[in-house]
Amino acid sequence: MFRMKKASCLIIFLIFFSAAFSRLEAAGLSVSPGGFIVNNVTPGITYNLYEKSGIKLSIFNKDDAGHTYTLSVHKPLEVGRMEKGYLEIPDSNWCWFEKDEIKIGPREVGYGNLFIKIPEGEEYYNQHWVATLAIMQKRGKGIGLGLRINVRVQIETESKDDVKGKPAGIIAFKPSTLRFEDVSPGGAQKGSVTIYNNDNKTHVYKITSLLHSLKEGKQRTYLTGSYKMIPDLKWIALDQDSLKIKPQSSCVLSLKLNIPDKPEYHGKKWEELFLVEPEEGLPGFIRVRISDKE
Amino acid sequence: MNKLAIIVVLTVVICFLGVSQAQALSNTGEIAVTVTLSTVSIAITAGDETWAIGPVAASTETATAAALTVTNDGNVNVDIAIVCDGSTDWTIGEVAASNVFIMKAQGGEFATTYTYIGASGDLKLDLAPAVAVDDLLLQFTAPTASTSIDSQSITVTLTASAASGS
Repeated sequence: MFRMKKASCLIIFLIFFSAAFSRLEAAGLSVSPGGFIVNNVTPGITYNLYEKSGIKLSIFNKDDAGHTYTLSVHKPLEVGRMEKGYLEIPDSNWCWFEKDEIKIGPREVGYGNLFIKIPEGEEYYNQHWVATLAIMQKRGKGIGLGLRINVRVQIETESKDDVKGKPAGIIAFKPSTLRFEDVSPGGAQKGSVTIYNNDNKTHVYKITSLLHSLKEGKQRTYLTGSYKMIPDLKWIALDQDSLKIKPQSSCVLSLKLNIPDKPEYHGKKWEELFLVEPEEGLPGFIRVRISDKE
Repeated sequence: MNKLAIIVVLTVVICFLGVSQAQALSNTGEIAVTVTLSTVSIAITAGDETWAIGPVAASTETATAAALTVTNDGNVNVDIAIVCDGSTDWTIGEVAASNVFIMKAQGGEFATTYTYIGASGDLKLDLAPAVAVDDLLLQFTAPTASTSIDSQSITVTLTASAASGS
């Protein structure tokens, strides 16, 4: 009886904490690309990113030992932060990897092929979302350090102004991208975007330039394709710089584009993003694309 | 007549195929992918290759003997979140209790004192490319008691994410 009590005490006070020789190994992990934008995703279509664009995640195991890595997709705010102006992807299951686990040998590279399918539905056009892709080194038993890299993917669904009903999201736009195509410098062009307040309270939205507000070089987080930031913000005039929108209502914002007629402004491709920011809550943005007559 | 019929049929077939293809193309939404950041990368060098805790008494505090070096060896600014989840039978907490252990870190921006590592990822190192923190130490405090006699596996995970607007 006494022996049993003694044994219990030992069990209580001696906590066997893993194997005797747990190791803190030198380790290294790289993932490329570290961030990307997928534009023009049509709801209802399954996209194999590698097949469609040649892009896949390259995962570099920089250790002298082989490892298994898990690949998963998350809502960004569950695991960190996200780019301003985007909303979280409503369901992280809309993106997935071909394989959710891969083995990579020492100093070797493995690949993660991403698939995207946004459910069919008019409300899913005109969306700007972020999903976080997590690549994590799977650990064995014992105490140790684990490495994980999060890659954020900015998903922009097809911009359309002829869809029925309201687009999804607490703040939404129709269309989400305003295209000024075949623009001739010297001539004015007009466009408009409907902004939706899908919240249950009135908001006052401030409209400002997103790209011009960023430090030099940081615009690459938002610019797409071969577009560059418009050199002068004054070339785009908004009819309002703030909008008060009642709950479950919308308002139209008009834009006027006027590029000076100079030889150096011909044949250019420019973008600007206008941040639409409520006094409280997450902002959204309107992408303005300008392609000049060649 | 027969020739004409064949030509008509072929023309209809060709037109039909042409229309089908156009529809298929218009429904095939061509995506465009723009890479915004090239590589996110993280490396750890252990000052002491082992942290052999082995069997420990309840409430015992033990720390890594030598500092770890964490390096941002990619080409974008990164936030490195330090996270520790529980094990099979224990949870992590700010105060040791039965089946509750503490894990703390010290180094970088929080170099002066050991800071609790939670599961939330609030504890972060912000590193510019080619910058390293070479004074990271970890400290473990065992639970005050354990209902399990099985060895426990605990991982401190360093998660690198590109800083917003990198």
